[in-house]
Amino acid sequence: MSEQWPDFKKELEKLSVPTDKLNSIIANTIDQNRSKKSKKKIIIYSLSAAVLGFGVFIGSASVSPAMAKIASAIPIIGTFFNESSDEGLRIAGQKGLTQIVDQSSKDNGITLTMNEIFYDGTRLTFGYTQESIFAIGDLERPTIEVNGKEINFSSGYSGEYITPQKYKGIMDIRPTEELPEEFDIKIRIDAVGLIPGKWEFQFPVKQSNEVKVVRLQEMKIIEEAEVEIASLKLGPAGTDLAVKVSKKENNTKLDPYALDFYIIDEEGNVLDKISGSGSGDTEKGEEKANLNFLYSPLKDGTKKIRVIPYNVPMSGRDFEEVTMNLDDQNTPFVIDQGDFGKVLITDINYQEDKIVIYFDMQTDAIVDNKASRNPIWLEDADGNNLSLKDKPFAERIKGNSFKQEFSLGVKKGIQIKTVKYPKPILYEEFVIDIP
Amino acid sequence: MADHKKVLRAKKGNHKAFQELMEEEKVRLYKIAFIYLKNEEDALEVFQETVYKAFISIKNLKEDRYFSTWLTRILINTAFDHLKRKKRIIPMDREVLERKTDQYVTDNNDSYLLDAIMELDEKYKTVLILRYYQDYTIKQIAEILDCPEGTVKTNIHRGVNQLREKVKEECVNE
Repeated sequence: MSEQWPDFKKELEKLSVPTDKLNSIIANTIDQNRSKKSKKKIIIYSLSAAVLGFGVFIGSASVSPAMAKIASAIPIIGTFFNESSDEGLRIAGQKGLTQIVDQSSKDNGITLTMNEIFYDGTRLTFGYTQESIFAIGDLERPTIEVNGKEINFSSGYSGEYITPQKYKGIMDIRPTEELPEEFDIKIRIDAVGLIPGKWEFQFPVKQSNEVKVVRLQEMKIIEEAEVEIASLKLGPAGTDLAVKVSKKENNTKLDPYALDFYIIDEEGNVLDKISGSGSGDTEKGEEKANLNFLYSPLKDGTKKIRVIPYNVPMSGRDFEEVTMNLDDQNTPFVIDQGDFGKVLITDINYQEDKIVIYFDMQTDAIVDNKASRNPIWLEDADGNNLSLKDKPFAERIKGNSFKQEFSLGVKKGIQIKTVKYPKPILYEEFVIDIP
Repeated sequence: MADHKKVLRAKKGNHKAFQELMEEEKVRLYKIAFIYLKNEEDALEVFQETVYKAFISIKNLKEDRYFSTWLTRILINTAFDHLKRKKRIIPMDREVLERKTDQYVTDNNDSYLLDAIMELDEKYKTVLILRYYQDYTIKQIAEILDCPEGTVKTNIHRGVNQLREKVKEECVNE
């Protein structure tokens, strides 16, 4: 028998291949599991803005172009974060709490410059610029040494091109262990996009001294798991919540990494969640997870906050999309978000190049300031999402009334869309007095 | 063969590199899965499970140059597990079953050989796919399947013979 027969390759060519399905399986598998890439190390990292327009809110390490709309001007030293849409960073930048580094490293035609950093114990954020002849992809996860010792961390990236050759980016680092108040940092980046190389930075970092730390000794039992707030750090640039979860390995009622928290002040303001990360380990049948969340800063003078644990039930299936054609609707009209509630569209204001939608959330679920858990969005007749890149979320006007701007091209055939979102399950809250 | 640097980056946790690698391998993997499972739905399920297993364990891959072989081994083991699970499941309604059978028969009814390959005993199917579709050497196949080279050779020989018999049968029946 010659090796020409059987000609498997020729035979297998006849099989039709559903390439689209395969591509989406690959993308979805990575998306849904990227956070679990290391069992012992980092489990999740999410930036709240990454949830825009998708029915899925699983933590992801993905780039969040919307998280920080940065100044479109060429960076001027010392003002890197001043225009950031991330409230905490903006405050830090404007109060002059950031540290100027201005160190460059060049390899393979790509120049990386570490412009400015911010560290206050709640967050460690690097503002950098990337210059090259062509637009190149994201930075690879760096190797970071603190006082000569490599640290474990989760990271999130965002940014934008100021010119096709210049990218202004923000890298948020969440170490798994607390860092000292002052340290020497060494950062090494091995690749930018697909281009390997070596870019190194070394400089001292000092914590800005304005962080208040609250440590609690209170534990709640949630779905048979022990949930404890390890610390709450209040800084000018953000509120850091550290939570410890411990459960029996065989308790399948709660996935510790799916647990989320609302922080609400005494006036009922819901803090914006900026990011979340987690790490954990299993020892002797006990799964222990450390979760860290970063929220917007508390308003000055806040005396008491509520921290409400919650969980969004996931069925593993895509949520049902709801679509209504704006041509057929007169305000007010209602769009259904399934278990989450209803959205009453109260007014639609067409302007020259934008549409402003005013709406009330009719739900007893907690809605954050950007309605980021249950967004609505517009699509034009060709199916293009009309959300604004630099303002991808709704804005709370008062109570449960919101408004959101969208871009406007052709007025005819615009569709308003949302998804039947599951309603979050709320658990017993922690009440914390702020000293 | 997969790009070494890309494999290295994927091992270090670069999701984009992993995605690119999987996109390069997807057609090959899907076709092998289809040969075992004989219908799109199950083949996609096995493919999905393979991508998942590869994703969570790529960091443990010892030799970068064995990426493709490693991936093939995951796929084949997953396909076997899937077949085992299916055997334990109570048979479906006749109607559903017929629909499923139609799906692949109509897709490929111009090829006796392809049908015959799918009907082979699994041990023969595996070695023939690895040898004639993947172009692996006898030594590589022995490593993937964790069995002696002699067994691989025997199974290839028997597989080809069984295949020839099946093709003959199909022609006669027709």
